[in-house]
Amino acid sequence: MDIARKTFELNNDIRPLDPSDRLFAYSREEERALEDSAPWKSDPNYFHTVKISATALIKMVIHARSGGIYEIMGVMYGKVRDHTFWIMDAAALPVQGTETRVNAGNEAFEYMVQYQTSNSQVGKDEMLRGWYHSHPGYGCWLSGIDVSTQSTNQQFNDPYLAVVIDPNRTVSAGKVEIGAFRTYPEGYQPPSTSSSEYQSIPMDKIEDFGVHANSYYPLKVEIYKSALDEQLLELLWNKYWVATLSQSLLFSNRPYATSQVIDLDLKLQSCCRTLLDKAARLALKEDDQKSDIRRLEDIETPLNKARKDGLRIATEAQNGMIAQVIKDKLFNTPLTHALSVEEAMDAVRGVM
Amino acid sequence: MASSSTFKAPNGNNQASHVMNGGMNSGLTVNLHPLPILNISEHWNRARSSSDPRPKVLGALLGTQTGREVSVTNSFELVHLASPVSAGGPTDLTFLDQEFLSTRKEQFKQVFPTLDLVGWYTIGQEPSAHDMHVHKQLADTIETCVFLLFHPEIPPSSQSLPIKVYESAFTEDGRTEGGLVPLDYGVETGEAERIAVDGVARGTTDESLVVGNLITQRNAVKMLYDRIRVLVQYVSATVDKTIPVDHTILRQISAVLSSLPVMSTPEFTSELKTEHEDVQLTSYLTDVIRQLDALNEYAEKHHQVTRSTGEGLEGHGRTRGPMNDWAGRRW
Repeated sequence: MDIARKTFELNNDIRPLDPSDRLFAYSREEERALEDSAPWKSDPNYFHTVKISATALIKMVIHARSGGIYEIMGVMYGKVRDHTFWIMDAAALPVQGTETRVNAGNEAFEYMVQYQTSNSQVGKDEMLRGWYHSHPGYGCWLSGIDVSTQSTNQQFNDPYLAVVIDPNRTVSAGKVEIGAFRTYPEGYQPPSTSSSEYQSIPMDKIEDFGVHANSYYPLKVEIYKSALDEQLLELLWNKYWVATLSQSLLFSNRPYATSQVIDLDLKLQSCCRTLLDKAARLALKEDDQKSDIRRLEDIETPLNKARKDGLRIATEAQNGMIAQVIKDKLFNTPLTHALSVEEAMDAVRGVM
Repeated sequence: MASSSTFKAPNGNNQASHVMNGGMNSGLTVNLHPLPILNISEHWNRARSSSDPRPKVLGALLGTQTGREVSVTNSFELVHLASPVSAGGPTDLTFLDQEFLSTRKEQFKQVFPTLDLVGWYTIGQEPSAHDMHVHKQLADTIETCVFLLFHPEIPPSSQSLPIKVYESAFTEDGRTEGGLVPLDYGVETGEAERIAVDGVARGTTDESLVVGNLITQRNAVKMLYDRIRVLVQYVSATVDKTIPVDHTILRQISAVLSSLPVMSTPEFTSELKTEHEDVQLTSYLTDVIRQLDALNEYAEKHHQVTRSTGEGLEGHGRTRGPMNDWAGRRW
């Protein structure tokens, strides 16, 4: 039976889809069953992971970078299944953002509807499953406005996901800086303050960040790709590896790196003031708060944060420098002596 | 990238009559970005998963053109109309839905104003009569129409992308009549795009930034090394007379070699040195912050301990602790 099937497949040139390629098939019925039961209504933490397709991720990152210093915004299409968002596609929206905020007006909604109609004409039937926007240079988190946008959407368009991309940090760290979030219903107390990884927030945003930090939670972000994508990526690397050597991170990050140093300076100044204050108060007052010594380790002081920011700046600068030094050695440093034939042969064989 | 064409094996079989090998192309250079390539791959995957047994994969390529250089940076899917059976001609020719095309084009124009329609793509091994038919419909409306043919079955040993790029062949009097001519293409990426593609290729890893960066650098240097080895083997074989002498290739190799060192002006050296010192200074300052932080933590603990152990230590480390000294300094 099995052999017969295999022969049939061989003779008719039928290739089984890779299990991972199955994802591209979309069944509205299957999803509707989940939508009807809507487990996310009763469990605010129902979704814990988002899987983003390779193309959707690249589209969002390029779009975010194209905005320059301005925020951009777009929407994501996909499906939900097993506590997970599957983001299949992303589309930019014609929205003019500023350096610190972006919001969709009526025009954008109209565009969204038209775009989705066109999508379904080409067989992309996925539903609108979220929105993305960029935070150029100030990290992946939700601001007050973002929180209210997201919670409105979760009330009326759920399941809905918010994704934030920082294009500046992406380029500066050489790694995609992306965060996916869902808000909690109003009045909900998260079981414990979700201790997400530390990230640097610029001085002028700290307040906005702090006030809303407990009204949403981050989802784990994963990327998926098909078997064919994988092959293509390998072949693409054969072509674009040159770019790795020819681009200089130090050079392209100069404005951002400078802004980071300025921010660090502000933070250190503020640390300095707080410490002075504290020292003065200590001299006057005695034991006005009984803080537990054991908890001292867990408290993150502003100086701790400044240290981490500084470390990141230095690491990124060093990374850029390492690349420059490698290039200098490879392309600019002539040999001090002529190679003998034996040495040259060794070099070719990679012994040297 | 274009120069790599010299190493390409000559296209032996000329069975596809739509391609005019050795025909005149207009000297167009095509640069493909990873995004459209992955987009096409996804389009194909979707088509395979659909219920349609013989899906037609058609799409438009978006990009920019400067002079004779076309960069393909994005793409979108196209739909075709049901074949007009009564038209009298061959019934299975594909007609593009022009209305859909212009709607979609307009949608992309709104969000990416710099991108124009520069061509189209489909799936296949060699251009077919159908493809020619579609190509004509598009070539009539846009000036430079690039045709990208994607072949999804990649042989395991293949080193090049499964992509062929064509444009309309020019006849003597400059009209685009008849067949297609193959074009060379390169791959280029923007910075953010390269990082995103890298991230996708490597997957989400927990390695530190430094390790990740070093791996990327190492991989690139290895690619360079592998390519230099190929050149060395080629030259050795020429010297050993196991292959015929090709002066064009040898001249190219010589040209590459003579471009070293790439930068040897004193200005560059001093700039690099300054840059290097700046970076080292950054590291040094970070270390200072780290020490201050450690000191501050110590002072804090010291204060807690002296306070909780009561009167005995009164007067010590209270007002004139190290923290206080440091905090009073201007910097």
